Amino acid sequence: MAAIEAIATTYLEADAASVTFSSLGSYEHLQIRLSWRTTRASALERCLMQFNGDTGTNYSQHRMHGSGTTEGSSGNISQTGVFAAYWGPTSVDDATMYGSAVCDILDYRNGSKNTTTMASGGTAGMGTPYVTFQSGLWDNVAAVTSIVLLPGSGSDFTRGSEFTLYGLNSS
Amino acid sequence: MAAWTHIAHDSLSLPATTVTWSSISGSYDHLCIKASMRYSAAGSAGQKPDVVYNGHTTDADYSNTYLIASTTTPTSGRVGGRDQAAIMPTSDYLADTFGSTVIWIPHYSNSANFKQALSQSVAPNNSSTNGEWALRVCATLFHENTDAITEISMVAGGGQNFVAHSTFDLYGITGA
Repeated sequence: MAAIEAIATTYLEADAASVTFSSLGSYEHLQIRLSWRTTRASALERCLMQFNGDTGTNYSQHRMHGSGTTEGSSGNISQTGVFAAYWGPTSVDDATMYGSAVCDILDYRNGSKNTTTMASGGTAGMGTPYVTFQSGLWDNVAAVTSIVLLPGSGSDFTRGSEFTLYGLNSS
Repeated sequence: MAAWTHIAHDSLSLPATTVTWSSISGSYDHLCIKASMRYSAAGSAGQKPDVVYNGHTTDADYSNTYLIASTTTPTSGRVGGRDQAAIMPTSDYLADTFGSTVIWIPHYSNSANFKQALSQSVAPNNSSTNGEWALRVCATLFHENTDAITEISMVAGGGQNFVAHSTFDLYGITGA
């Protein structure tokens, strides 16, 4: 058995409001790699991630970022998702520009743990460049069986965005 | 040969102070640790476990450059110590909440150079209050000697434990 396997890749042939992974397999850990942008009409967008169809305010988020010579950090509780990626490019950026992110979801099948995430990402937009590192917490000990990714401000993921889910084995 | 090989998995059914991998084969190019950890004792700012290479516990043999956040102002710095690579929630954090840590140790088996590790680690919480959550990125230089890394220990620290359900995975990564 390979230690790491690609479970699924979604490449968007058209703009889409969300991306869902509903067959997660039986791995020890998951990792999602994103190349993404959105149709939002203003600068910067976040990529939210929800588990098991829970759209309630059961998530917490913390992040730190750098943008040019400015850095910052912050947190929010009672949110409707964690961040798979914090800031990405939108329709105001060059059309060929896509942001990148890697998000780890460790021990996602453990029924004794709240699901937590760790992600890093960036967008090199000329006007709004960002590099970010963030954590997420879903206050629920259920095993994760499905994942939904969606733009945080209600726009669509842009055609050409790609999302790959990997599974890491522990044997 | 597969690029990634799973070397070891430790899932704690009971609290434990230490997880050690010994006799690590030198047949890979790089090592990667993925750990889901929680500390048994209190501490609002999270707990930093020790990451010990080849049994060397002299803090002066470890040099760390870090970027961290647990307030609205991220900070960076450089400090010695074997307890700087990672962070994990404590018993003060939301129950059943474990941190996430990934540590890369490139070219770990060469005997010509000091070893450097790059770690990313988070201690999530359902609080946005300063000091009650933590993010940590750290580059660690282990400069006691240039020996190949053959043993790694994760130590909860402070004489306390990793709680049950903490998990630790060690992977080996090969090139072509």
